[in-house]
Amino acid sequence: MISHYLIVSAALFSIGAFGVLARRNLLIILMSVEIMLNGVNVALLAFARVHGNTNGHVFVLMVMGVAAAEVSVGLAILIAVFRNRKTVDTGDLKSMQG
Amino acid sequence: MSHLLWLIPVLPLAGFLVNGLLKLPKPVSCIVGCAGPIASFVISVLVFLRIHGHQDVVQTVFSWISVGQLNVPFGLRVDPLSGVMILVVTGVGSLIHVYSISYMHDDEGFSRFFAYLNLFMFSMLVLVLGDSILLMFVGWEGVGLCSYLLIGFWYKELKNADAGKKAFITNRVGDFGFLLGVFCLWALYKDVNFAQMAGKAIPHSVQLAGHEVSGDALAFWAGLFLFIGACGKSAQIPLYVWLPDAMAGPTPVSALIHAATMVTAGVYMMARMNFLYQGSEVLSIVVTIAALTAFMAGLIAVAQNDIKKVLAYSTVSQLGFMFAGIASGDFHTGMFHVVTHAFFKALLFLGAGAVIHALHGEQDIRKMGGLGKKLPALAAVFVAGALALAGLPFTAGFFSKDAILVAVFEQASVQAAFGPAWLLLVASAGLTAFYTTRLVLIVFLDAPGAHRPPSPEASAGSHAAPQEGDHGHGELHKPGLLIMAPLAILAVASLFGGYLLDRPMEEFLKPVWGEEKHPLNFAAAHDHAHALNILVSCIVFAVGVTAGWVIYGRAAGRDWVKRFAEGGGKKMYWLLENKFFVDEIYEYTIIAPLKMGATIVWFLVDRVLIDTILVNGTGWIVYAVGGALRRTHTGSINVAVVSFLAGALALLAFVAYQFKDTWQLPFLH
Repeated sequence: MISHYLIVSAALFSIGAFGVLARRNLLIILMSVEIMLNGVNVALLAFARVHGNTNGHVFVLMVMGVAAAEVSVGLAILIAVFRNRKTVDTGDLKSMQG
Repeated sequence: MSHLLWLIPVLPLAGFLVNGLLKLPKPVSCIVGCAGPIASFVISVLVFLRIHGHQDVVQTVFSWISVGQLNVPFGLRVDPLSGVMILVVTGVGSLIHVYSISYMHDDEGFSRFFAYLNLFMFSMLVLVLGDSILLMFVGWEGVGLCSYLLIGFWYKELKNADAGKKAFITNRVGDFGFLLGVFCLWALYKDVNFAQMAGKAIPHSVQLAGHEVSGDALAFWAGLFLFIGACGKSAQIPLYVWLPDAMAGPTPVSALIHAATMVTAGVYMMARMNFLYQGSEVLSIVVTIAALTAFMAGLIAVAQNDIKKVLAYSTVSQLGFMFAGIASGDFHTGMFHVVTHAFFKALLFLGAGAVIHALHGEQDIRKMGGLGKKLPALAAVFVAGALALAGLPFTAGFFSKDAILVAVFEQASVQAAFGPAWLLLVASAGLTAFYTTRLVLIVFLDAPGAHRPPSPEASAGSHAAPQEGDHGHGELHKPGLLIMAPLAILAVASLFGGYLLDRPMEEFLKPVWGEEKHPLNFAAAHDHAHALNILVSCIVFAVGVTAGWVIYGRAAGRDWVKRFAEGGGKKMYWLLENKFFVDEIYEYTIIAPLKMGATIVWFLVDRVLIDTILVNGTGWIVYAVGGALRRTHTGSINVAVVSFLAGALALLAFVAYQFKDTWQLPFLH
């Protein structure tokens, strides 16, 4: 039965990863990262269920907390970048080029 | 008394530290500077009185080096030999310190001068008191350093700094020999303590770097290497060239370091190593070099026109006498001459300093003259020193020089080299009397300007000067009490020291080397030889002084010299005035090739290998690799994320592959 959950989890993770890789809008990339995190969360909860303990729950709460923090910081950076550069396209943000 | 021994060197060291580290006003500075040596002198006298009962005074201050077999404590020992030396060093040293108060009074480096002088006293006392040859080497290097610092004391003139460097580098050559000698001694005795070494017999054969070496051969080399060290420090051929240049230093330094004490360190060292030199074949080499040095330096001194240069070459010549005395196997004769020479040469240098001071820095004797009437007291003490140097019968120099001549003469019947050496030494004694007379007459007895310079090129300048009154320098600077008092004490010592010390010193030093070896028919032959040598000494003194008087005491003689110098003797004079061109020969045969080699090595090793290949090469490689890797840094977030994910996947694949058995993943089977 667990394989169903894991397939959903892997699908969510892959969709998120595709979004991160393929899209050039920073906002979309951030959202994709959230999808990846939630894919992981599904897997963690499934394993917690299989093992019959709450370790997975603890991890999930932790991931959600970190995700909330990440989003707040990430969106703040995004706004700062947009104010300075008038763009959130990663193709234009290349000032770190060596 | 033995527990106070360490104070003898440490008191001047304290003076050095106080004067060197603190900025004191001049009166305090000179009190501090003089107190150390004088206190050392007092303690030395007390210690000296203790050893009169032939009881060595020994003190081990602390354990210094302890490595395997080598165990060297910082030990001080006063036996009759070092007892005599510490008296000379602290006694003459104290007088020169007192003299320096007045001499250096207007110098801006007053405290620095006393600090260096005290450091020198410390080093010299360590050299003399050290009970092992390693500790002696510490003092040996210390005095070399102080010599360098004091020669270049007025370092703002390039000439003085160069003279200091020359002295230091020439001494390095000798010091290398000294070190080799110490290594030989270690191989030979497995010990460096003087008393321990003296107590051991030279082994028949020695293991040296896996080879069997004869003990006698090694002893020969040890003696020769140590003599090379002595040649450097005590200015013998071929390493004497630094001493005349060392006169660039202040005159008290010339008196203390380059006449009375430091330059006799080589003689002292060889006397200290008497057990190695007794009956050694090295002594033939030593006496030859010593006699040649004495004669050659005496010849050069005849034609010098700088008052300090005359005295410097005279010192080189007298050092030759000392080494001849050591070489004769009668070690006390050499040490006796060290002591008397310390008296009269310190006196002459200090007197010369007073003359230079009086004439506001004039050192050229051709511009002096007639000072006898103006500075009678100074003239009197200077003449006393000059007579002692020239060897007037019953003055200090006469006794010690005569003792050396007798010793060398007696040795001539045993070793062939001593015959010619004796003749050279007799000739040098005559030269000594001659150039001393010349110096005194030109400086003190002539009317100003009446003396025409003997050298052709200098005569051109003198025509302008003859009628000038007080040397064109205004008033004479009369020496004060602080200058005259040390001179008077030294003058008394120069006149009577020899007579008083002759026999007592021989007896006193006897415990150091035991019965010195003499020819078998000792008594009769000795008296015979002694009588002959006294006669010879008197004759050469008389001849030298008379010749000096005839030539330089009368206007006719001086005219003759002038004609001679411009006519028949032109070549000879030119040769002597330029010191046989030894400096120039060294310049072209040794220094120039060394410089060339150094330039080549500098270019190949420094410039090409280190600078270009190693240093710049490293930088260039880093730059090139960094430049190549720079291109991978695109700055694109997508590229970074792709690489990150690819890496994570690769890591995951790797872990999965490693644990494929444990995890039993279906797709890997």
